[in-house]
Amino acid sequence: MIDSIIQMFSYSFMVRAFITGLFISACASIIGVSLVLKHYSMMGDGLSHVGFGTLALAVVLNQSPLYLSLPVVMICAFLLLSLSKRSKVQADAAIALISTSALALGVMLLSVTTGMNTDVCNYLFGSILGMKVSDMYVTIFLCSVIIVLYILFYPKIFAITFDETFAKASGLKVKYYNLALALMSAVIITLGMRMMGALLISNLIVIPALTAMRVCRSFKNVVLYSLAISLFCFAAGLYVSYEFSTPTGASIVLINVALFLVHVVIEKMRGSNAI
Amino acid sequence: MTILNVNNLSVKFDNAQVLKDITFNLSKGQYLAVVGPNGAGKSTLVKTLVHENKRYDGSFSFDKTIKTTGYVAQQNNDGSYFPATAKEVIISGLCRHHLLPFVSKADKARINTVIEELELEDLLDKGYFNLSGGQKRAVLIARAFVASDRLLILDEPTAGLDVTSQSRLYNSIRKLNDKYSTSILMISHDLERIIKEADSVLCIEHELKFFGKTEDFIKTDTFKSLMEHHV
Repeated sequence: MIDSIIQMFSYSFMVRAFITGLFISACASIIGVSLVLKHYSMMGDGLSHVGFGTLALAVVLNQSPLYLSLPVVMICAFLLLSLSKRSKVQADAAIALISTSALALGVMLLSVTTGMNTDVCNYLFGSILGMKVSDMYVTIFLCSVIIVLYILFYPKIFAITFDETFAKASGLKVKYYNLALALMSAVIITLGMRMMGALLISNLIVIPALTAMRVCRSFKNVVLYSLAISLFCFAAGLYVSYEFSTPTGASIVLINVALFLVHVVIEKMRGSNAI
Repeated sequence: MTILNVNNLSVKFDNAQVLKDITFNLSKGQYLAVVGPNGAGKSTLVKTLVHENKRYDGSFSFDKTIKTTGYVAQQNNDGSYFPATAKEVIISGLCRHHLLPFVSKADKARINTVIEELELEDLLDKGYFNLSGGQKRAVLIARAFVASDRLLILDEPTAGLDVTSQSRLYNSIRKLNDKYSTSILMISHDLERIIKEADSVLCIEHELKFFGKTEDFIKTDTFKSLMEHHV
């Protein structure tokens, strides 16, 4: 196994995938705790569909998918929040509305232009081969910004996650923090789409948080445990993918799901009353 | 010293006049009970004061030294699971001005004070979700005090609790009011108890029915009518 790991890291694209993936997994797991507890879990799924739509546009326009997707997915994250807060459209319905529209637009664009080529399939289901050096640097920079902001604003993030009413009464600009959470999710989803796949990236946001909530009692421990699980599952998934030639995104997701099921059993055995 | 000044506050929702020309003030250390029948607009008044409702006419202002209010809402996070310890919930009272890793000595002292006064030491590491209803409310009052030891705005904090828990909470609020001159504005449906606790009363039924000292309030027909309704 050690030889296999050493061999794996002899390939520069694997090193790039490993570094990029660790940063994305870390950010997804910590932001995911708040999204899950605020019942915004489906937002990640919705935004990943939007990501696919913008990818299709990028393929048609022959542009870099990352730089086109990033602003568009962030705008959609803003729209999702605004639609669900201000109008009569419910949050889940708003996500369905925007995500399916973006997906349909993407499919339509591809069908009348290039068709479902390999590049498009890679974005749908994930691939580590296409990770450019520039993409890695952009990912490291943006994820570092997210991690620093998260640590600095942790008390405020806890407050808006636990009790928005109290946070608002205390003078906190709750809508700006909600927006910041949505924008950070958009960034993580766009960055992680290449490796994990548009259809699987939301798993990185939701499952580690759900797993951690099975065994942890405090918010801080949930965040830290979720982070540890996410990093472990990513590393294990990448290794399995390399060793058995399985799709990276699907490998990481399945290890996450397996670990979640193990925690469900642990929770049942301990008779805990978490979710 | 006036902590809160409310002038001709009116709130209208879809042509229904919920509050009309409410005027009163709250001084430092004052314990003001907000009473009135169901649907009289008490919660709307409180929601307006904590900026939850922004559609109103008239005005209200807090003393310049009050940057934030300590608020306990009527419906809390009692029912749904949330992974947080009592300590995390109490500290979140600092959320407005707290950036990690900066917590001032004064803030730390206020946290320790309220934990001690409300006898919450044994609950600190317990999951908030696993606490009893009364313990949860005590934690929320502690969080409100951490947010502001000058003014607590409490919307029926004892609702739905057993008599013992209610009594414990009333004692805790009294202690904070007595020892730290914390001004209290509290909605309560327990008329018999609240008139024993509060030094003044604001009675509303969409409009102002009474504002003044408790001993004057209990002599009014408004009080008698409320008591009959209450019984």
